[in-house]
Amino acid sequence: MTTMYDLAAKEYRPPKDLPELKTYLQAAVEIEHLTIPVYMSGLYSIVPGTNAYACEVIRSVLLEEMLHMTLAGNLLNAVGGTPDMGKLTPGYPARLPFGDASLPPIALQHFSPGALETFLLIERPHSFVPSNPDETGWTSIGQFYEAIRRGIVTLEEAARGTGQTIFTGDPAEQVGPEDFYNSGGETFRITDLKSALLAIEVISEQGEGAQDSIWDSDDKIFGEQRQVAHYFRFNEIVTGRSYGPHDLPRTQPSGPLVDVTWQDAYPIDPGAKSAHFAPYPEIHRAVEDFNDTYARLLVLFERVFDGKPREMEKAVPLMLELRDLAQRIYRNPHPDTAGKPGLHASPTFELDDSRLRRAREHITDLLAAPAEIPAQSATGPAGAQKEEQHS
Amino acid sequence: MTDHEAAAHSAGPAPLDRFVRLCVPLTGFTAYELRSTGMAQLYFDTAGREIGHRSLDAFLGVWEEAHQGGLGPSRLPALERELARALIYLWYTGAFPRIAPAAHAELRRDRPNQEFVASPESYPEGLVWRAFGGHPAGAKPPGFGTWGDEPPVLPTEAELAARIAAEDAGPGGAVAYDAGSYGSAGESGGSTPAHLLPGPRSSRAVSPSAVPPASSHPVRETSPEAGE
Amino acid sequence: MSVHTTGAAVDGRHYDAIVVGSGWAGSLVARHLGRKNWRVLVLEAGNGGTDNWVDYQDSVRTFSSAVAKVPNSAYRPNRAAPSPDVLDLSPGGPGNPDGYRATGHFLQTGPLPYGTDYLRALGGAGMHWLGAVPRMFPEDFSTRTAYHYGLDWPLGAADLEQHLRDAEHLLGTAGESREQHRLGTVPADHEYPMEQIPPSYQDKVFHKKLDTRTVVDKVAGNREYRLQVYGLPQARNSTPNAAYPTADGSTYKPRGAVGVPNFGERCVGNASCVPVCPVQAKSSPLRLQQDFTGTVEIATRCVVSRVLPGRGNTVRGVEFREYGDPATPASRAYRAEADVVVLAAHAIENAVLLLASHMANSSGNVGKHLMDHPTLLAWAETPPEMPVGPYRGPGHTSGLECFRTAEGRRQRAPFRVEIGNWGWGWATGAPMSSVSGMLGLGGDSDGEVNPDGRYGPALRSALGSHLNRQVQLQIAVEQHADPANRVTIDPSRHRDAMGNPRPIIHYDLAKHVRDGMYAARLAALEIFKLLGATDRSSYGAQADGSYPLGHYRHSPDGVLEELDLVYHGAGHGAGTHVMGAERATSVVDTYQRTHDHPNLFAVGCGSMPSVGTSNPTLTMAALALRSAERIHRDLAELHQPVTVAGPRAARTQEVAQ
Repeated sequence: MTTMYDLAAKEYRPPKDLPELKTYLQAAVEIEHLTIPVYMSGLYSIVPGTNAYACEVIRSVLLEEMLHMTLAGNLLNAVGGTPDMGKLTPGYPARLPFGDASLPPIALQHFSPGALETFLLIERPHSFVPSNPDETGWTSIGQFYEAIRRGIVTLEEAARGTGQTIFTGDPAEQVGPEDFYNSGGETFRITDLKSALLAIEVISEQGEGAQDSIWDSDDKIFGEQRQVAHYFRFNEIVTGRSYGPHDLPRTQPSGPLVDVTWQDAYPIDPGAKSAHFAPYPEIHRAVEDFNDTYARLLVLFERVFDGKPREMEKAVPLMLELRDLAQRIYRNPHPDTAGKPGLHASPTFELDDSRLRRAREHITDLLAAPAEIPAQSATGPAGAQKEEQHS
Repeated sequence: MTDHEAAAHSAGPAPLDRFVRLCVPLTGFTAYELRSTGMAQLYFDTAGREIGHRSLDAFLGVWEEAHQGGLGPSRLPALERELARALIYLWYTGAFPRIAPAAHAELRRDRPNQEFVASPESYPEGLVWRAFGGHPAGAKPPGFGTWGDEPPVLPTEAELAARIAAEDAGPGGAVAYDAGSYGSAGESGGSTPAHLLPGPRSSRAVSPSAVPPASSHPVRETSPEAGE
Repeated sequence: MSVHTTGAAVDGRHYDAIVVGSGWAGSLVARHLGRKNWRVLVLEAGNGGTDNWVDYQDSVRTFSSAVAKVPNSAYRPNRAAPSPDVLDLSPGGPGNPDGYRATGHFLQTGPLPYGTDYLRALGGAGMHWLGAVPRMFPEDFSTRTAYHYGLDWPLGAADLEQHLRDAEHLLGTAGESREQHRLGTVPADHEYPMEQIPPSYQDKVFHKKLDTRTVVDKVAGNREYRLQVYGLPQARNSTPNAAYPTADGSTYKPRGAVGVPNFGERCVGNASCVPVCPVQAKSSPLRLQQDFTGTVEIATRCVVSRVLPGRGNTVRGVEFREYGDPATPASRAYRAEADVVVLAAHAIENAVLLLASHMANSSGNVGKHLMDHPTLLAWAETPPEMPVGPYRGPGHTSGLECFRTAEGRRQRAPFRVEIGNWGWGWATGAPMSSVSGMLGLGGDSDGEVNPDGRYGPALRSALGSHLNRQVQLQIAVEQHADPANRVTIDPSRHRDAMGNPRPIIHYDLAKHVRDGMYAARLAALEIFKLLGATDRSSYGAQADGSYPLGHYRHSPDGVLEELDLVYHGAGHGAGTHVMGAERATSVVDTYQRTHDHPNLFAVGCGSMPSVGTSNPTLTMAALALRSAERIHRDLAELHQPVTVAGPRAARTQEVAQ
């Protein structure tokens, strides 16, 4: 069972001590990760060269989710913990924790009105959620982060009272902006209460908007141009219209039209599993290869927060490789033409212990191996003589 | 062929499936890899438009027969050989090439014999980049610093042939790979013969498919019809 | 953010400064003056639009659609403000080995073709540049004194040091200062804002095979040169350098992409710097334009046709034509006035403007001394067991620097050996032409279908192996200022579609340059030998009897074997309004102020008396910053007596708030 579901099953309250705070932050890493395959599916299933605006929107949100996952990792590291990528969701559809239990689970969907409805659900602002908490008292992810915020403040105050701090992590192990900047903001080191609260602010406000507006706070925090928060960016795609400068959260967008062509996407089976493709070796190999690469990315992330922060530089190449593998799979028709007519193959984002184990071995090798240059060739230009016969 | 017939020709999955299946041995890429470009339909349409739907159909028929008979493209008659090259070039670069003027004349094409890129999306999907484990210039970037990594180990010719044979295995069994009729020089590699390398572009305005080879072909044309 | 305006809107208005051109030089000057609260009008002849993300992506798609991926291939053609293009030139054909045919913007009259382009668009050629920012060597500023050729500068490297650092900051550069200091181009305390762009795998192979090995230069009196591979400083987003000093002590923050919020990561290796970086990790003038204050206005599609004379020997402003549709040259004429006029329209366009305005030419030197870096391409195939993995990373990340300096320069032009990361692309059109070559596509010289070729698995594996072994050296040879190489105009006969005079180019390579290229060819052969690579370069008659564009035959002394050689343009147009201390022999002073007109400046590579063997952008940027400071002082002096509150004082206050 993943940490986030464990926590969500318990009653609402801020973390009461440091071990519990670490549990909450592990759950935060899991939640931020939960959305990434969902957005990747929506983005990479778009037919190349089409839906430029939607591509840009989903790409920008995806980058920010990766930033959030990294900041959550930094938070956990800052209080002396390390993320455990073995506890991520074992597959999709997956429930969204800390919310309305009656909501449908989140599936991997191709770019479609249905997928966008899901995206809106994930990013729904705190203030949009009807306040009818279930028996546990959880209402939203925003509320979950609020609980973390209060926990951090309380625990740090208590620690200071005894001349101590909860921020005992090694600052040298924090992921800084060196390898992650201008990508939906930048990562920053979390070493004290101030930077910890800033991280939580970034995570909440890039998602649902600052102080009941449609805007995020990138202008204040990163000195970047501010942009419409995730929920509202997705709403632009759904409504086919962008927001104007004076629009409010509860009004519909009033800006220029946005060109969205829903038919320019590869439709997929949201319940697809790698095993379904087993009778078709080429596709199966591709889906397995994708899942292996995905596992490697997560394991790399694990290493980054276990004392190797600069290995973050290898994360971007892996993400780009994932993108390529995913797009290639989507372009292939579903091989079960009778059972899944008109659908396309899709990456399944499946993780299990043996896959993670293989990924850990692979990443260990990757981090150990420097590029080798062939030794000085004693033979001179090989094949030069053979060539002369031709010319 | 009328427009209506042309539309019927490219409609539905069967003709496209056949096109992709027959392009597998031509290109050395599996059907999965060809489909992965997302360009199969575009290339089928482009080839039909460029060389005529009838000529394309005829070519596919001749090639299917040769392939099932265990022969590679170098054993095709001159026109079909050049069409095979044009299709391969289209898959490898995303552009339809300038073809041998003799073939252009024989087809009685009503369009200029000039290279053009099929679409802005086709160029980044060129298979040539995959052939050497790279990525297209200006697309699919591999990430910061990756250019310092050792180039990847590539599959050998025998491995590629085996992959294709596995896919081809139909009711009649797999077609054996006749390396010689695919122009193979064996696995040894070595220095590439000059007549298979591009010479200098005499100016930047020369399109890639119009760049002459570094030396003329050593063997003069022997009629393949006579040779068979 | 910058304020966009139109030609019609500024007609008849007065500014503190008018800047003609929005490339690197113009953007640096306008940015600086704007921050000093001066009212500046930037007039750009070409199209705007790349400053928003959607239109920028259109450039990427334009590049993708282009058959020939040349430097201007990402930017749409513009009839109203045409750019020269490398596609404008073709060889003379059989029987005319050194001949050429030219179409397009330039009219060419010289014995050899001028194969260099530039771009008239927002950001100028700074949109399609590679991003190479090596410094010039101190000795490059005085070749006349030291080696008896070319022109000396009226200032030295030390005079430019602070401006070079400022330029390196503003352009956003990445490099290894320790290594550059060893090379002799930067002082000991120097730091780049970002860590060096990682070297390519190929660079590492070259390091391993070449470092400490020697090459004998037969042209330079059998001098022995010790090879050493050096990294290239580049204006490309890399990892911030923690040791780089900033004003507030924080770590340098790389600049993001323009026109899209919160994006602009490190170089991800698109390997298409020229013509377009899809993620804008490569720096461009658009970044500087983001810094423009509200006092700087830009008008695109405004082609300046002449500088207007003022009282005495001053200038009053400019006359320009604004067009609406780049496909048609229909336009309207307007004027704008300013206390200072700055021409920053590229070396050749600056010269055309000065000539068309009959200005700044008391020395007769406007348009003379046209330069470039004539570039020899040499290409080879490494052995199968030694792939180098080309077509990855920035265009080039390392080079061999030993032939650039010292006594050898006396005997032949110096040269810099760029280790190209993009295979045989420039020389042969690879990897596309490698596909057609391997297939035998396109027929023989009689147009008949070729017999053999490779197909299927044999093709894929042969291409895979071969393409990973393509090595190309791009050897940029210094071309010194030669008055015979020049830009002229003939407005009565040769005008563009809008009616502005076309540049008429007369170009040749002097013996010193030809000798340098000959030595470069021999050096390339030696380098290939040390690498164990098979030389595949070809400069002579091709299968159809024609010779490649830029061909000539040469022997430095009549004793050394005569060789076929071919040069290419590098896009480094320079020298058309050279700087000098003497007004009789030069056009501008050390501040790039024209000797003849105290309030007319001509900035850019046109001012450079020599270009050494360094890509000129960084030096040009430092000069532009030096000019900007001077112009600010001039304007401040001009306005000093005005102490009573007037419209100007009120305006200044407004800005300050």
